[in-house]
Amino acid sequence: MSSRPAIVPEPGVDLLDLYDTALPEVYGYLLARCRQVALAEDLTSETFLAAVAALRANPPDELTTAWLIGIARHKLVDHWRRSERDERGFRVLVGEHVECVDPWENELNALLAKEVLGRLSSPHRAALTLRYLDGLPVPEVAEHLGRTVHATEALLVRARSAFRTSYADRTGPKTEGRAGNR
Amino acid sequence: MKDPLEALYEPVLPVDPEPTFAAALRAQLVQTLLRGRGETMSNETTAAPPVEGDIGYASIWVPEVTRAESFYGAVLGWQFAPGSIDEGRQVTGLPNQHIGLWGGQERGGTLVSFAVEDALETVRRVRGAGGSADEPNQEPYGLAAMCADDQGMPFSIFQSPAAERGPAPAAGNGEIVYLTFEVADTAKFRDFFTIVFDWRFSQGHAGGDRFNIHGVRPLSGLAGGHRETTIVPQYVVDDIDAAVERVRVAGGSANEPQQQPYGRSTECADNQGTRFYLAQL
Repeated sequence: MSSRPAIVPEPGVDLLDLYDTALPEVYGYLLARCRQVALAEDLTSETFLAAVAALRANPPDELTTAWLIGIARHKLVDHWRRSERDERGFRVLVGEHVECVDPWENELNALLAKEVLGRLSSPHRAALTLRYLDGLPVPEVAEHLGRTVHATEALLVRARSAFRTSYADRTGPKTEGRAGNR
Repeated sequence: MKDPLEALYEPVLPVDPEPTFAAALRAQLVQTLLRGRGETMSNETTAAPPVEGDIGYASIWVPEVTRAESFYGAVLGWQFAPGSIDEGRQVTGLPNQHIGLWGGQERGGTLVSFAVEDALETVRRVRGAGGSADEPNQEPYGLAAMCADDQGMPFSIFQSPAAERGPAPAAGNGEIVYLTFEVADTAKFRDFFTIVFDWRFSQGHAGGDRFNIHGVRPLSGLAGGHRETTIVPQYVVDDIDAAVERVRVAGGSANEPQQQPYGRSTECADNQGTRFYLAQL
């Protein structure tokens, strides 16, 4: 028997070839949106394992990082859906009235905006993340959330309102007072 | 008016996760891929039909078939039915795979038989790529032909009705989970099989003259720099320590199992010197 190292029986599948380049992208996508390392790791694992199943059942025309990010987006939405069920008991329904006044002067403070986003209820967070962070058009947001376009538009209106309210709470009633002293 | 929330747009910026996490996830993926579909090993999983270039049959070549019968029966639990010749045996009772023993061979090895959609067309491609091929013969299982690649590696082809590539069935206990094609010249091998089966190759993760083969089942790899071409099978077992013990008791030899990312594996030789690997996933 030779002492030469045996070939590592690594499955010759495209996903492993893509893994090293795709992993930081998928993880970076998820981390920027859920902002928790442990959760981003869990969702990253779920994404790649789901990709194996998808490659077997329903392979895409081309295996790309963009395709994996699409799966990651599904996993993120699934996560928020699970959180929504947990939150439902005590969630305060905010934003039934639509506030039109933006609590920021000209531009959003990006850091504060991310923090505010993280404090919203899961459905609002999911809708705003897909619409604005991911830059998806409303029909695609609707598809991811499993809602009609009309219901998604209404959800986005409420989510924006909740976002404004929370943002205003954190900047105080007079936005100009805080805005200058950063 | 521009929606001010559009300022939230966040392009995907790569972030490296913890290296330990990255390595653990890679290992989990490899294991998932090797396991095939998962836990189901019952008889209700019908083997997915092979498609062009898949290995539909593997014949283990050995000097004496009766000695091989007792070895593989003891080590892998194989059972046998008579083959088409005195020196041939069919392994029975495997959940997904068709494997046989072929005695009377000076040198041990594996002869693989590839499923093809059109045997005549494949024969033309084999010859066009610099290999040799007999005229196809009608066999009970379909139109078949013996061939050899341009480095002299024998293989056979058989015509099988066109099938969609479905999910890979899990390799059951005692079945082949991986094949290593050891060849002299990997560039020639890649050229030949790209022409014949449209296989694709990617550099193995470990580097060197090693490649993953894309487009063939079971999962297979290519290793260069060998004097003679040999196809070495890796069999999956549920308890590798016990299997190694059985190898030694049955007159074979085995190295100590090593931890690999996908499970534990070791290199062995049977009681007549034919090499193989064992893996516990």
